Amino acid sequence: MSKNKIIRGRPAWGPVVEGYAFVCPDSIVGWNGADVKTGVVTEKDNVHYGDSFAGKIIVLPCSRGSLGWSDMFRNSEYNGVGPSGYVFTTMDSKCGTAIFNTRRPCVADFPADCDPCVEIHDGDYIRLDGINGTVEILVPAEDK
Amino acid sequence: MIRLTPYEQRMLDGEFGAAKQVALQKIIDYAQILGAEELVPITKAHLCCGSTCEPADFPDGNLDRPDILAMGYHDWQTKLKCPGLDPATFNSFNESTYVMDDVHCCDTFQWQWTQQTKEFYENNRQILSDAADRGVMIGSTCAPYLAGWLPVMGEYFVTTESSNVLYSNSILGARGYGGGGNTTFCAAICGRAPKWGLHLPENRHGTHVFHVACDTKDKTDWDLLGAAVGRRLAPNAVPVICGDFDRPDLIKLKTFFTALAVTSGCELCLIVGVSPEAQTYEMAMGGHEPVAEFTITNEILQTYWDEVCHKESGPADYLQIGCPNCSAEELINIWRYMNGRKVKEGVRFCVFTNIAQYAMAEQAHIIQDLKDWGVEILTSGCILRTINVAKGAKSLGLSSFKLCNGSKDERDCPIYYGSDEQVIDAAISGYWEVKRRYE
Repeated sequence: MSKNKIIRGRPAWGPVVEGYAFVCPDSIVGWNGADVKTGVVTEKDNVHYGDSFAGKIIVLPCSRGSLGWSDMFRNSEYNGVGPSGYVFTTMDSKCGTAIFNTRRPCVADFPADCDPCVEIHDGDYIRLDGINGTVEILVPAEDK
Repeated sequence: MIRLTPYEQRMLDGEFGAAKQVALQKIIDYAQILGAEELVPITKAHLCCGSTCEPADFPDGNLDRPDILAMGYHDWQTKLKCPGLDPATFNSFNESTYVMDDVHCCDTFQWQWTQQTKEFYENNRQILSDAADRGVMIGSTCAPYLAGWLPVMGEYFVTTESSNVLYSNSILGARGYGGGGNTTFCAAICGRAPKWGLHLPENRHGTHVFHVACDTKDKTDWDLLGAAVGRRLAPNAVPVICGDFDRPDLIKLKTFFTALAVTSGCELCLIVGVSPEAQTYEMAMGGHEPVAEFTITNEILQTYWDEVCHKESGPADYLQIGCPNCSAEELINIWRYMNGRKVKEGVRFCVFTNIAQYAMAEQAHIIQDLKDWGVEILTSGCILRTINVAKGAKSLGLSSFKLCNGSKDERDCPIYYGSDEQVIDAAISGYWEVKRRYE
């Protein structure tokens, strides 16, 4: 996504947060896909295997796998290593419960012609507005 | 803005107690997060009620952690899942909601075979007893439909088990979504959930069509088919299964849904001629065009077999069947196939079922026979959930794509995948012979 481009979804939960994007185009498997003490992805086939989502804005298409999915983010949050914000291409019940648990800003339900997992690149510095439902790229990863 | 009924408004005003008031406020927050505008009554709830500690809490397998043993029901449940709710005010789940518990970290009856301590086991028993005091039926299973927890067509339910969401929506025609532990806990207290997603008839139609051109004779075929379908799904997709497949039974369906759930976020799958809402292809699609179509062949199934099965034959010292928990019918099948043959000395072979199936199989002397032959019959969990059950294993042999997939992320030892019969054969010989499933 180019600098200052804004994409719009549904405002799911506020307020506003800025941070580096952590994009997982295939989501993360529930229950044991991440170490909740460090925020490190432990799913071996994941593009972010070995990386930590702590303090980053996580960008996912949806949830995947066990209904322990939301617990993974609840426990990461309680341990101080959860994401600082959430972008979901499409809201589902597990994603909703993750926001319910963490009360972190979230934008979801983007239109069919806008896939945040494509528009936002890993490492982009972005501004997530959970009140107005926008995600703005402030510094593209390639400019850093 | 959420529209409440007069009854819900009275609950929110505190007329029915502080617990329901707090839980309902949280469910209203959940509705806002999801984008729902009203609530529905929940008459069936299925959720974890025991200690929710995880294998990762005990990296060296030592369960003697005073901090965890000091935790009780309110620490694991009330405070964790409904922060802000005063435990002293929480005396009962909603009276018109039938609540059954999900799996937990211990076996129901013993701690020895699972390599736990009596203190750890008794701590969990007390937590479950405190849940029962609040109106929970202790079924302790990932397959509550085997134990009489059965929402009927059109009935609203919540559950913390992803394969149960699929079974209840797709085969029973009930209406629900999973969410997770916290939202399910709150829904079970106030008896309400956001009216959203698969509660709405307009969302219950097929989107992705799968033409089955692979083997569908065995349970393993359906397990791998579940993975193949799940890996091809978009968010919130509803797959339609059609083609010339062998009619699946309960055992194949619950296996299929488990693999489908672990590889996707899918919560409704319409199987033409099997699902009540998909007696025909046209009925399944509800007048909509497919977003995408796929044909699943044996070659595709083989790729998923390759993904989870270790490549070289070798010794196997921990074998397990039971994901989801085995039905009584599966216990009979295992008993028939064993037919008096004994598990090799030094090999640990267990079958996970639930308490209700166990009780029936006990009356049919199946439990005693299997034990005499060296098989341990466990309840209330699985290798991913029952802490320490496979501690010290040098290799695993499993008949579940989900368990292999999950175990792969937790262990570095060889993991073998195959049919129930292959698992039993390996338990008897102590050796796993790797054979390509499809040629």
